[in-house]
Order: sequence, then structure tokens, then C-alpha cells
Amino acid sequence: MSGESGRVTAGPGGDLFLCGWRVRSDLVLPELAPWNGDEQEPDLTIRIGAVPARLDGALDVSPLLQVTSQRQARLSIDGVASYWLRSSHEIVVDPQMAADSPDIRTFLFGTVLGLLVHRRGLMPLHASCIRIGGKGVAISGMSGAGKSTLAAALTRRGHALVSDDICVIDTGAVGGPVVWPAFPRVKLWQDSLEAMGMGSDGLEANRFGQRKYYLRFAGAADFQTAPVPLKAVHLLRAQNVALSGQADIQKLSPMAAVAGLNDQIYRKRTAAIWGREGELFKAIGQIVSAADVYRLTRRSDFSQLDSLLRSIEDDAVS
Amino acid sequence: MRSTLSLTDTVSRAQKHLATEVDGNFILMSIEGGTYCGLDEIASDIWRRLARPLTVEALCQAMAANYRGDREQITADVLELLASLRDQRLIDVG
Amino acid sequence: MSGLHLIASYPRSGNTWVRALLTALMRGDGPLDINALEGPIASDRSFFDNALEIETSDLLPDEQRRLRPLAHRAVPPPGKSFPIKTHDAWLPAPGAAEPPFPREAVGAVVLIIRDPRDVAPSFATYYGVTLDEAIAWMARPELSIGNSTQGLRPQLPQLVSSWSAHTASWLDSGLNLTRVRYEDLLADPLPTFAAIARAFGQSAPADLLASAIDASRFDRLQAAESSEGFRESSPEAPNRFFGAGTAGGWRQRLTAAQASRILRDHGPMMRDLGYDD
Repeated sequence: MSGESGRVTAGPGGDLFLCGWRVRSDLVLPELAPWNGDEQEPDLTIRIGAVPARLDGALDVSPLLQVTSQRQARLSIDGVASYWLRSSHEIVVDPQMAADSPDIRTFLFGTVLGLLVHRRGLMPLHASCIRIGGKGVAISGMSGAGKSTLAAALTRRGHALVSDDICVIDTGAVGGPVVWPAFPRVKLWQDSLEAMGMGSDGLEANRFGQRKYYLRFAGAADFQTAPVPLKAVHLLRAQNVALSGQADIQKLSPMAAVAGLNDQIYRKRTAAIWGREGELFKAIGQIVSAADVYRLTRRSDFSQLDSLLRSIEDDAVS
Repeated sequence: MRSTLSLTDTVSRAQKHLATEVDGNFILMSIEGGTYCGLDEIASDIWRRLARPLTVEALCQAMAANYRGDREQITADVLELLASLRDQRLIDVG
Repeated sequence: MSGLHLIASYPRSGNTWVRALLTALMRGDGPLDINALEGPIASDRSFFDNALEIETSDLLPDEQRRLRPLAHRAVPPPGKSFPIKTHDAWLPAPGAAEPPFPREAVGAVVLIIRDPRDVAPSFATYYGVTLDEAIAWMARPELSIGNSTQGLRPQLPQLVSSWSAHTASWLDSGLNLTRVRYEDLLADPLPTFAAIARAFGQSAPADLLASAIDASRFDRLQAAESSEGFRESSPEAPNRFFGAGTAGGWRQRLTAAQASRILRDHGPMMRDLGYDD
């Protein structure tokens, strides 16, 4: 392991792209597209190194997560890795398993990425995002709502994946909120893969022994990295049964849209500790002013998936 | 039980609340209660005026000066809105 | 009364009925919207994702079970909140060091108990299994629900255990617990429901209790479910969540062999609770 002052040099594949940032990483990150932008210093360095057991002045947000008022954070997953969000530009990872294990990236591109997005003053929405007709369509909801499955199904209809699980929104962009593309990969459970007629052969498991897999779309090099204007957000929920008088897709009033989006801010408790509640709530108003927000109800077994997908496409270009 | 405010009360925005604007109208959230409150155009105008503490009477006067309508009716509408905001802990009444 | 308020029961033993009663009591007069019942469900994944600041779907089952009680310590205890529904046994699940709620965080428990011979047919319908399978499941100390290795469920895995072990775990827990028999709530609803409300620190006048009882009558719940649908019903029995809500229906539903198998599996606990007729 390199020491804390060790300098990370561009890997054999060179620097990488993530949400508009130039990333230089010790860890192999096969899901990220190569950096094709300007010659500039990296915005983010991911180092392999020692992570202190306790951050100075840390508050325990959960048994897994310490945060400080200086907006540092330490996430620890026993047997996988410890992660230290040290600044807006640096993440230190201390692996407890082979450094190229997908398990390590599962949490790096989960909670750690979400906290980095907060730290960089952007909005991480708990959503997957698809580009339909040049516009961003976010599919938001809790784990199990079916975000990734719907997103993957939409890519099979010719649309491009912009991000999975965390949708990074810049509401301060000129011309309205935009989504920063992350990487072309979704995480799908065995049953979702099967529902789409795919198997898990040859796919990396999200965690060792878990039947949840990384599905990477071929050609990270072709990944479009330009920010995408946000056109629609679908707040997704799964329901076992149909209820009478309830449409599958329902456009929400501004107040219901604000409330629904506020529930889907990713890593909200830490964001509140870091004093971001007010600015995030304002950002939600900007999103609701610029984008259409829908309540999307799907059946738990994904029956009627095709009609849902067509409705999402129709609303995206209306 | 909802008690009415008096014209001499001073009102101001509560410390703990969240506010955002959608197309010029405010949507508020009480952090303590976890409830949301959507304001229409006129209520949003009142909310803007509550940025600094003022008396209910001054608020009613300002509204009467800016909107047509019966002065008593305006006063009654303002009082009703303020009582509702107070019950949702979105304003302080002193 | 501070701390977590729990409505604990074995599955298919009247937990949702009690939530309906308490919802009707809280809302006051008028028909009850069964798709807007109050009350969180203890194993709700979104609570743990929020409390732990992690996707529990990225955690292995043992990690989820270990972290479940710890998550309650991570978030401030609720001030005044609606009671939480749970089917968990008061036992440490595999991988966990303690029961699913930290002992010091529990304020009051109402344990709803129902004759296992009436639980079995309802259990079979809900989970889409045969009566014999349901009876066998209810005798398994390791019975757990909310598990799937193939996909994600909206609930975290819950160790339910056998009917006897589940019931004993709560009765012996030493928690501030009020024991309620489903059959008593049916036969004598007013004082029984009053005791439930009191256990949760609510003292309501008899007329309000009576109108909540009326709004939550099983024929009303069933009618609402068949006309509107019920979002909490299972994929195996869509919109057939609310049964007849009777006691002693097992005499028609179970064979003599099935009834005696249940008595053999759970005899001592059944006798303690008066289910030995």
C-alpha cells in the first residue's frame, strides 16, 4: 500500500471520467469511461492507503459511517474495505479483500459517491437515469422499486444509460437542471435478469455470494459524457396488486412532487448533518419547476412492463 | 384547538423550516412535523413579507393596499393563513 | 410514553386488523381507507437504508441481521409515533447478537395471539402453500420470512420461528407487554381494544372506541378489499388478505389429523393460552 503522501499516477488505461470529473485511481475501475476532456489536473484522486480507525471529531451516523463537520466521512464494511472521503478531491480506500473485487466498488459507487456529490455541492437523487431523445429521464425510488430493471429495459429499446442508482443533478446549470453522466453499468438481481431473458453467466457479482450482478453495457469508451437536461422524474413504486382507480402513471402536483423528491435525496441524514437541507430543498423546487414529475406504479412481477416503458418514452418526448 | 391571532401580534418565519419556489409559488416544509404546505400566489406574497418580523396589522394593511377587496375580508383571510402557518410551526408569533 | 411501540404477532394473527382499529381511532369518524393504514412495518427496508446510510440490498443476509438492531440506535427514538407492526420473534436472528430491537428502545408491546389452528389456513392462503406445508412451517424454529436469494424483497429478512417459540419469546421477554388474544378481541371488542389503546398510552372514550371497532369490522374490510384492492395483500393471494375474521373456523377447515398435528407441535403453549378445547 502506498503511504498517505504517495502520488497516484495515471494508470495504464489513463485517467477516467465520472460525473464530469477527471478521475485518477489506484483501484481498477472498469465501469468508468476514459477521460477524453481537457488536459487538466484530476478533479478526484482515488488512492489505496491507510484509513484511520476514527476521524477527528467524528460523529457516528450509523454503525458503518462516521462523518465530521468538515465534511469528511469514513465508511467501513467489515471484510470488504474502509473508505475515507478526505476532501472534495480525494478518496482513500483500504481494501480488506483483493483490490479488484467488485465488492469494493459496490460501496465506492454507492454511499461514498453519494457523499462526494454532497460535498461537491450537487444533488444526488436516488434514481437511475436514461437519455431519451436527448433528454434525461430519471427513475427514482427506494431499493427494490425497480429503478435499475426499468433503466436496463429502456436501454434494450435503444436508449442510453446515463447513471444507475445515483443521479447527479446540477440545478445551477444555465438553462436548467442537468444530469451528469456517471458510467454505463446497472446492478440487477437474478430475477430481473431472467425477466429480461438474460442470464448471469460471466457477470461479476455485486457482493461475493450474492445473486445481484453488475451488468455493464459494452463500450465504456463510447459513453456520452455531456450533461443531459433533466426532462422528467418518475417516482417509482412496486405494488403487489392493482388498486381500482389508480393510474400506472400519474402526474404530480408541485407539492406532491416536492415531497416525493425530498424523500429520494440520497444519503439524506449526512446531508442534514452537513447543513445542506435548505439548499437541497431549494434545488428540488428548481427541479420541479423545470421537469415533469410522475408517480409510476409497477406490478411487483413486472407484468405490463412494455406498456410502462412506452408511457415513459411518450412522456419524455411530449 | 385553534386560537385566532390578534392584530397586535408580531409574526415572522419560523427558524426551523424549509422553503422552495416552484413557478413563483412557495412550498414549505416543517422540519419538526414533516408536513408540507403549498402556498398560492397571494399566500406566497405574504410569505415574502414575513422575511422580517412585522405586526399582523401592518401585514393586513400592506395586503389591502396591494389587492382589491373588502378590507375586513382581507384581514380575515390573512388571519386564517397565519393561524394555519402557526399550527404547522412555519411561523413564530410573538 | 417514550420508546418504540410494537404490535407483535405471528403472521396472520390480526396485526393488520389492530392497525386498522388504531388508524380508525386516530382518524375519527368515517369509513376507513384500507390502503392508507397508519404505522410503519418493523422490517421495512427503506427505514434501514435511511438509518444506516447504505443500501441494505448491498449487504449480505448475515450483515443485514446483525445491523438491524443497531440501526435503531443510529436514529433518534421517535417521540410520539404510531405503533410499529412486527412479525419477528424476540430472538437473535442468525448473525445477530440480540433481538431485532434494542431492549432499551422498546417502550410498549402489544402481543396479539391467535389459535394456531386458525392461523394455519390463513397462513396457507397468504403464502400460497398447502395446509400441510403451512402447518409444517409453523413448527419450524428457524422459520424466516422476507428472504430471497434471487431478488430483492421490500422487507428485510425476519426470524419468525415456530408459533410456540415466537409466542414464548415475547411472553418471556421481560418487556412491558400486554397480551391480547385475537379471539377475545372478536368476542369482546370494546374492553379488549380499550386495553390495546391503553397499552400505547391512549385513553379514548367508549364511543370513539366503538366507532373505530365498527369502521374496522371484517365485513367492511373485506368489502373494501374486494372493491378497491389492498396493497398489502400478497402476490400469492391478491386482494384476499382479509379473511372471514372468525374464531374456530379451523373445525371446518382442518382435517382431524391436521388439527392433532398442530396440537402435537404446540400443545403446551396452546394449553397455557386456552386453545385446548
